[in-house]
Amino acid sequence: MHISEGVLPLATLAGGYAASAAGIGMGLKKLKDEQLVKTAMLSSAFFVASFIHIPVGPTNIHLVLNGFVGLLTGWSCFIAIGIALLLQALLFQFGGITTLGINTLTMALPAFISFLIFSPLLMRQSMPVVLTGFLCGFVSVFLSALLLSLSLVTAGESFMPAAKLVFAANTPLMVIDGLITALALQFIGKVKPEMLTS
Amino acid sequence: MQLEVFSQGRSLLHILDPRVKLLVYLPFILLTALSNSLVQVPASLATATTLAGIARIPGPRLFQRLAVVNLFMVFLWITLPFSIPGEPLWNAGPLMMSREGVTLPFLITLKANAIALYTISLPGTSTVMSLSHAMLHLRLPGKLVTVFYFFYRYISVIADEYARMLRMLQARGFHATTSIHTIKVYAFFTGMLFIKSHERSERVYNALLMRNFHGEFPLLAHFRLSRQDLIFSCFMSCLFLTIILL
Repeated sequence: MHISEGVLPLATLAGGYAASAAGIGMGLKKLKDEQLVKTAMLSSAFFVASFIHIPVGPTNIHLVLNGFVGLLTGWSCFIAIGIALLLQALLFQFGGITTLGINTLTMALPAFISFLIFSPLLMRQSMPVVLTGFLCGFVSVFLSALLLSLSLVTAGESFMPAAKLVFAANTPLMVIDGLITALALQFIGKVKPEMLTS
Repeated sequence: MQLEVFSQGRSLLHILDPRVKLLVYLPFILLTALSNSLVQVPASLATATTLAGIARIPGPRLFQRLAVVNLFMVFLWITLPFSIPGEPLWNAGPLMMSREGVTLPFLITLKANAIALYTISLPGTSTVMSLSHAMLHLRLPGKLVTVFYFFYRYISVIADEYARMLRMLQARGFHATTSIHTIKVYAFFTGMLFIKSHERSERVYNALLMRNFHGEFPLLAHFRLSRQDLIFSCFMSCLFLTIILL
């Protein structure tokens, strides 16, 4: 989920960079040396997991998993998501360098919000893991699609229909990502529960 | 897995200093992204195309990449011509296409392609490792560059893991369909991929700790600016000013 180059005005691009820089700065401050490698490698897994394509009717969609990554990386989620987007922009021309800030914000802010909301729920086990996971995946993709559409609208009123179209195109992904996050969290909870509590 | 498909070559752009390439790259993409002039944007696209030519990027691969870039443009071409009011160009019942509504997506398409060409021919012709070294020189936080280094280093390892797990699924007769079974399999697959990454990161960190790792790597190779780098940056600066003045 990303915005290409050349669409957004300077204010949105600069705002995206400022907010993402703040998120990354906060992450770097909290990131201890012993978590460096873990954050980096979870980010690699995030990058590789986007190769998975789920067939939906005649087409297929690829996973986003930003809520899932948010839960696993916590405070460093801006770093983990930002570097993955940087590499995609450099190597595959998905997104871009001028839009890197806003794209990082679009993906990482919902991940961070999901972490703040759902991580305590997961620790206290006050809700079944599957339900927490589904909400986490659904809400994070929902917020990302919303942010993406909103940033598109900052380019002008005339982008409204395009923004709505982009949001609508992402609705199946919310459900799929929710389901995958739910079951993957349940799986990790059984196989390696300490990953969810640290 | 080969990710840096354009980084191998012997052209002028391949041997330039990555720091110079990044410093030339950033102003050009900013100018292109923010310009709304029907003269500047084509001029920038011409510059970018020339650079891709100098870098001798293989055609089929290049077009494949540009096709991806233009996929997002479809959304804009479907909606913008009808949502911008202006001089009517074509009428189809209640839908009206305006001249301004066609100019804008056209301009955006040119911009996106120009920036993609810059990205392929400037930073794309360096290896990611030398780019991250250059990022250190451009004052990015060292910790961030270290994380980026590990991230890049282990992508291919985890992609191998991914391919192995996928082979195992196929060996057991798994076939992806639109069903809850497929979702379940892929969810456990994703969970396993993250568990494996987590466990590997612990082993790697312990190995690093044993070798006295302090959060950053000593740099042994250093960049040196050559005459080509200086000539290239002077030439590109002049070009940049010309495009601004157009």
